[in-house]
Amino acid sequence: MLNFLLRILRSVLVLLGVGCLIFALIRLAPGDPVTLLAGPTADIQTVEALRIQLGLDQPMGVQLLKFLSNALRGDLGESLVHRRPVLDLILYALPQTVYLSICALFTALLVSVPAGLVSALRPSSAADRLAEGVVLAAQSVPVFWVSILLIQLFAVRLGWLPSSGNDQWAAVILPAFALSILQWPLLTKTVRTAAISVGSQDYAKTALAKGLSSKRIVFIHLLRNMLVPIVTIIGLQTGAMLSGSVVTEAVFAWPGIGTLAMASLLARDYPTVQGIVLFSAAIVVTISIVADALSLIIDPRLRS
Amino acid sequence: MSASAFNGVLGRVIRNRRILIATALLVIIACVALASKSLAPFDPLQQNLRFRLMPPGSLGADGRMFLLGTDQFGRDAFSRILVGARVPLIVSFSAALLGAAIGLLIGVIAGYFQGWIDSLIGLLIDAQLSIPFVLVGMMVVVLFGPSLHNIVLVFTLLSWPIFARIARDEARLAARQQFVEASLIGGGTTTWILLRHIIPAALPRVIVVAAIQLAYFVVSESAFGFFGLGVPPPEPTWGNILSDSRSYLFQAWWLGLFPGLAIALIAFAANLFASGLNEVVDPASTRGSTF
Amino acid sequence: MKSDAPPNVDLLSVTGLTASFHVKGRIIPVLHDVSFSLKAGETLALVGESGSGKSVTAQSIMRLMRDCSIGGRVELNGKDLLSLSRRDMARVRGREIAMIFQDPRMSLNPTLSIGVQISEVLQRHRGLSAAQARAEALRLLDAVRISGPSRRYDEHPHQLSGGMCQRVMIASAIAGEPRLLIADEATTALDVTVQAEILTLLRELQNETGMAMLVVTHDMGVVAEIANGAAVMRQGRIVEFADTQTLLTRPADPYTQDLLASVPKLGSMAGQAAPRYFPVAGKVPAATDCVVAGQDTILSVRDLNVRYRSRSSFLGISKGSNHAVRGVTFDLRSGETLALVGESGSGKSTIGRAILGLSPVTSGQVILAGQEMTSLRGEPLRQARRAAQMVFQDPAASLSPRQRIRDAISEPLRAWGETGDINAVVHDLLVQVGLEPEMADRLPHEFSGGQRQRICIARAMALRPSLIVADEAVSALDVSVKARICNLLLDIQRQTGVACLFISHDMAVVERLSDRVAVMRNGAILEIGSRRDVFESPQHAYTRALLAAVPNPVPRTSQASISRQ
Repeated sequence: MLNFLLRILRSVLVLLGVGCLIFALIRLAPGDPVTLLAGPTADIQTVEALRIQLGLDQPMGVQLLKFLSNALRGDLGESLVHRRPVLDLILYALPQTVYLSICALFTALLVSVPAGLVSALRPSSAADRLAEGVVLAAQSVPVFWVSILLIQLFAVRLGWLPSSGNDQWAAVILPAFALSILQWPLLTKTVRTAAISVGSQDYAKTALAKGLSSKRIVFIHLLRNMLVPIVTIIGLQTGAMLSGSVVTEAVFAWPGIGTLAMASLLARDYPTVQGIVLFSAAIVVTISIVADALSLIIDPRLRS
Repeated sequence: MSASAFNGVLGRVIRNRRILIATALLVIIACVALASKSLAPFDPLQQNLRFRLMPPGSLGADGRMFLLGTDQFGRDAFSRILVGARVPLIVSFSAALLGAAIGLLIGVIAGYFQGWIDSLIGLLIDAQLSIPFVLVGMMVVVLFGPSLHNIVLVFTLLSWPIFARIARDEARLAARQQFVEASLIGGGTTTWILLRHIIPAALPRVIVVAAIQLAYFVVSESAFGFFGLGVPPPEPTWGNILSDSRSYLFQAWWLGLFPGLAIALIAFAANLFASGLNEVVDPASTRGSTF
Repeated sequence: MKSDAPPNVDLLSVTGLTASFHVKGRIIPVLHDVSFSLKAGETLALVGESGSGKSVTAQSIMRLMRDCSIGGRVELNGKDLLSLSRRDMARVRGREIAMIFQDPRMSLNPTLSIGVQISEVLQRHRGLSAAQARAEALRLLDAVRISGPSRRYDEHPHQLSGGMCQRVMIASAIAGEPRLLIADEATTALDVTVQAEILTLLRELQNETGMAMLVVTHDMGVVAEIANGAAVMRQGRIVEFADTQTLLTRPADPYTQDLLASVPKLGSMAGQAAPRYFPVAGKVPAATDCVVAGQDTILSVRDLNVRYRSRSSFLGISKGSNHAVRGVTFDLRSGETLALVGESGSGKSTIGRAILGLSPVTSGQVILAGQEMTSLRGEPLRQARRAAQMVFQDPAASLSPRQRIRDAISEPLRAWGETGDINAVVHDLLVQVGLEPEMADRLPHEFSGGQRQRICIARAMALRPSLIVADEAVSALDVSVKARICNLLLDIQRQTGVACLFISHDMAVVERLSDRVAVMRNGAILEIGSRRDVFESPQHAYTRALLAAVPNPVPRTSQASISRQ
């Protein structure tokens, strides 16, 4: 329990660290941060008003504290483009990103679990080589490029699926598939390693020696022990998933946080980008806590 | 001596087929990229509006062939792909090297000494890894400008925690090994042990990750270029070639296909190298299980 | 359950058993024509050193091996197990033949409660309902002498000691009321007193149920304790198959003779004052009084206390402490061997580490070659530590896999900036530890376990230390190798006059090697004295219990009567 409380405390410190990094980034950039934050079109009065409003006339330390305490209270500033609180924009786009991510994760599991199991159970078989080839290819192709090819093939040439947006239910298929490709390599490797390691444990041999049914051996004795590393890696991959969704959403014009981020970035809407980075970090940290909690439930050894 | 040398890790590296193929591929690609200016059949910047969007294999005015066709300004696509290899290769090789070096050093220090310095470095690693790499990278490029060395710097600064995390785990494992204790008892100083035992123990894994990151950097650099945040034109890069090709998807499929394949080829070679090295470093993970 | 087979018919009969592993397309034979038989209610031991094929034989009977082809016949009550379908074999496992393994903690599933791991066998093989199975599992926990079964039922393996885990394994094994129980090195990983308890438990359960047992072990003492007969294995073949009495008193095969000669027998040193060589080829046990202990004190330990604080990995917040060493005091003179004996957790290894400055000392003094060590840090500590070297339990782990042995042995010399002909020194050290100097450019993985330990000893001797701390240095080695390494240590001691702190759990080895003995438990020395005093007239009840628990490779008088029943 103490461990878990420390874990949460640590996550708060991690988030504060992220806040400091973002804070430093804007201030290290060449030029006046107020000009950056106010946007290129703002006149002198607006800039000076914003400087006082943001407290940028005050010492660095005070600015940092104000920035962090605002962020902790959920005040991520105001978008320059939309003239609305950044948090509102994020919360509006969030469900779309969550939906897309879950679909992508599900697709990735559909690919990685069989691929990982095949290469663990039948090493050097044709199926193993195929699985490995697919994973190596997935690791090597640029996802945005594959996305374009997918659009060209399925949306333009064959006309089976919509190429962008989220107006139809089928619109999620292509972006979810593209986003899932990022997850294949690590997830497959994790499933494979977990299967090999669990299968070579003494307790697996014990289960066999007890004459239990194969179903019980696999589902009760082995699967549960395999879950911990898989849950952990899914938790750790949240960051990469969010990174990937910036690119994927932008290519497919999927109206989630990624598209918002890319549009804000290209429009030099720094407060929004900054807010999205902080918010994403918070999601990553929260999900890794959830993953840890799940591991505790699955494996009683971790509790002591 | 020599017979024994080939029984060690080095011998297994040399005899590994994946590593062999991958190394050959990477060396050839690197040589081609270095010599690309003289190898290119056309000047990659030379516009010729008479020969716009010619398909692969078309002949130019002087009878020379546009191997992979031409783009919207009539520039030779093949020459542009050759010359366009330089930026992604320079960026990814230097960033992987720098990131690995910095990460190795920091990670080894954290893992070997542990205590508060480990807690602090661990916090920093987690903080950096919890922010979306692509988004922050692009933000830095927008803030600081899209020059070659800025992009290398961004990739390095954003990737050191990945190396540091691996090096830290490996160093922590190695520090617990009995042969490190034996070295300590034999009179090894801290520097001695770090240089002779801890870093060599951490290095193989760091190289595996460096190869994987190299692939990731090639792909990411092109993504940056694709969204107009890479090294700006007229310097051709695979990213900005792909970005340009977007408007001609229907008329000129070849403009989008070949640069993507080139990116995939390098990334594939690097990943193949990583998987081969992983086979050598960690044979246990490539063995079958009891069931 | 009493076996329904008539007692004079073979329960298990193994004929011409062969096994080959498939490794990367190559086929490596590991068993050659192994034949033996076992009657109902009897106990047969498969005994041999590592790589002899004894475990493979046991696992082949159960068909637990993967990537392995098995030939020959394995008949259980006349039914050929090797020709059964996978499904039918699963009905034999756990029901007719049960098996327990070496490492009880690893053999239980960490994510399931121990109760479930017993009752699943009851539900599978005896068709009990969940509620019936629970009640029966509680009875079985009681039968394997686990106190408070209903409290333990829902606990997980990590909450139990190693001995308790092995009891749970036994409970799940007898749950199917098998005719045959195979115990694969089932007591090897346990402390000697726990081993004695488990062996007693197995004997008692055998008397209650009438099951036969096949005991796989490397320990002749365990054979003597529990088996009616034994098959000695070497390189995948049975070299001798006899009843225990004959095997231990009149071994026929030269290998068995050599093996038995190498086994240290507790009490064989009665009346002797000084350590003696083991009687292995080339060493005559008589007339080898080894070293005369010198007069100068090399090491003084005064009121040493070590307290470990377990800390969280993040921020190092203390989560409690563990008093590993309590008020330990002793002296060690040059040329002398002091043995620290005790079971796991007794603090004996911590003392060795504390002397070398590897474990932080809470209070007390360690004076090594006249230098107080506990107050030293950094460079002064490194300087002072030069007088002592260490040899570890696992020679494979204490050599870097990346270092040629020339570099490993010369590392201390180079670390101290020694100049001169380092190659010549390595040459001499290799000769001294009985290895070919031409081997210097090989890597550790090209050597056997015993050879690796010789390399470690050579490295430890490179700096000509005045003290060697040997932390379980021979415990992981096969008997014949163990005897030779012990002799090497005695040789080196005679040649160099180095003092030795010999940390071990093995009473019989300690009896051979040491001048003085300190018996430890819970971090404290219970008694310390000359070897003769401690072994021949132990003062402390725990010492007596420890000595009594050691399985000795001499026939038990009661054994013959059991087998004739």
